[in-house]
Amino acid sequence: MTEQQNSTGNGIPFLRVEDISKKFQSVQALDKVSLEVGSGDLVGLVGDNGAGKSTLVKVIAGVYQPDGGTIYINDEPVVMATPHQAREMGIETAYQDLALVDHLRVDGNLFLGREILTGGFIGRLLRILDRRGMKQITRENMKKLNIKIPGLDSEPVRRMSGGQRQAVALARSVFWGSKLLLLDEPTAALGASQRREAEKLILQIKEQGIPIILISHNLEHVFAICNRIAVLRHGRKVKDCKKEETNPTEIVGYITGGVAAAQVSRTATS
Amino acid sequence: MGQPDDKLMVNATRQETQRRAVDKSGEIQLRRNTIVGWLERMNLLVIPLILVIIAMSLLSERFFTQRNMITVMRASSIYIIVGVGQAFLMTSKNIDLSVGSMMGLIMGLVGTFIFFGGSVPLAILYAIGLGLLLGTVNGAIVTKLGVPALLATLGMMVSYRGMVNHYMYGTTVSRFPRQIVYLGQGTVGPIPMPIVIALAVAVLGACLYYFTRFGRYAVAIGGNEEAATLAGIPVKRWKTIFFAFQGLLVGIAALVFLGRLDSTNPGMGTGLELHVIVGVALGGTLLFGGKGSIWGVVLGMFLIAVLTNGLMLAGAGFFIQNILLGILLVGSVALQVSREKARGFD
Repeated sequence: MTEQQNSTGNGIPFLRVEDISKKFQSVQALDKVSLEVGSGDLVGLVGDNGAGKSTLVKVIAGVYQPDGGTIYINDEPVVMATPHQAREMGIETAYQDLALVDHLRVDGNLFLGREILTGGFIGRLLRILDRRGMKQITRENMKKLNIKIPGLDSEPVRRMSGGQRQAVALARSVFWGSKLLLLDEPTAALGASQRREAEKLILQIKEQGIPIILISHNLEHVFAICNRIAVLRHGRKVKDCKKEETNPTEIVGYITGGVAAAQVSRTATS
Repeated sequence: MGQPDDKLMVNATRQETQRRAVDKSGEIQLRRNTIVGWLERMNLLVIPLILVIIAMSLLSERFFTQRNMITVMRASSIYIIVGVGQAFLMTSKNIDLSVGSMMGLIMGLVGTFIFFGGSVPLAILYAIGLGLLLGTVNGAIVTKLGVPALLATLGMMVSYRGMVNHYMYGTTVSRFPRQIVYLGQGTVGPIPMPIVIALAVAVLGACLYYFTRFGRYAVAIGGNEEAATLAGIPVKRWKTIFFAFQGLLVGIAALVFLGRLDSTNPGMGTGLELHVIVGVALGGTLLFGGKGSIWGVVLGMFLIAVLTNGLMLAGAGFFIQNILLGILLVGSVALQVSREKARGFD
């Protein structure tokens, strides 16, 4: 991988979060977590259940407001009060439940809320949809991403498999020119072969220079596609390094707390 | 690659099985362009319709005549006009139970207005404006106050009926100008005006449903309201628009009915909501939202009209109609539930 200029390399990272904390009643979900993500990064965010992975991603996506800490985009401090604001800044999220409308076709979902209208003035007045145009763009876009789905033009997404639906959700995020992609367990619901297809697609998105943060429980999957791995434990970041600098056994140690506490505190401050 | 931790693997597997198992085959059955697919989208309504028509023709020789068929279509036209609006609402996972009372109220107010010398164009604007207003009130109660549509419109159903009763106090007004009567009793060539208006509404409704954002957002909001919100669609505003549209169509239906009866009293439109909902559900519009059919509305209303007309000709009593409507509603919803289950969705 040639363009592995991650956040610590030259230039400004697209996203930098600093000392983010979030408390739910008495539970400290995030405790001063910092993370940088830039072009070429595909960060695997791992940790046990309740380690704070989803909370961190939701803070970045504007769903939760942090109690403390700052979010920087291109080195500018920003406040994202709603998911909509985060999206306007180019942060797209593909959630576990995909947020697709089952009864619409692929093009309907791809353009959901941002439909192309046709028919001139009257068309805009009556909100007439450019159905052919949207189908055409959908076909081209899916071809570009090398996604093949039978019945792409004619079938509602409810008839599609989990893998195909995942591909549609990913394609939508990429299509809308996202600058940062957040993936929460994107392949957990998929079978083996579909998972490989989805992995290929994620790598392809990364090649386009879009940084990705990927939450996964599956270490095999993380080691297969990510180039950086960050480990959360009890709301703290205990490890953040390039894939080549570590191995699955060590990462499992960090996840479960098996690695000596002294070592943890040393890497946490680095 | 190294061995992942057992615990983590177990974790992932459990999550996998917890999810709905949609991707067993990874294949999609392409059946949209087949006859079966078409019938399915019509909620299999065409076959029962043909069977009922054949059965009724055998039961009574007066049934399958041109004159009777026009009677049947004219009987279903009011329901089609109102049903088109209800199809949008039901697609978006809403419902309007107040349509019957609303129609009674509009007929009462507009009928009295004409009776005391109001001009016809103003009366038409009055009816449509009232419909839009009452529909918007329903929509505002649902979106601003957060009352579920079923209860909000149940409440307004009682209130609107109360209003027209209070206003008219049991009186009847009749003998309207001929332009109003023409809307209900006139003909265009051999075709009665109510049928012309109903078909125009159905065609317009179908265009809105299939070719514009109007229908697209009804599907999106009814199919997955959260996804629609995440996609930046102003969900509350669109819901209000669907209710207002339903009101507008009730206003039109009220005008047609005024002309057809050339008279009105405070009881007009009682029970209309049930008839409308049965027809829309029969036509393949899901009561759980996300899917609907405007042509299904036309077919559904026609089926009900054929059944009641045929039964009447065969000598069955008037109250048989209500027995039938109730059974049809329960039956069509049961069919929807079983078909949704068969597809693996809960």
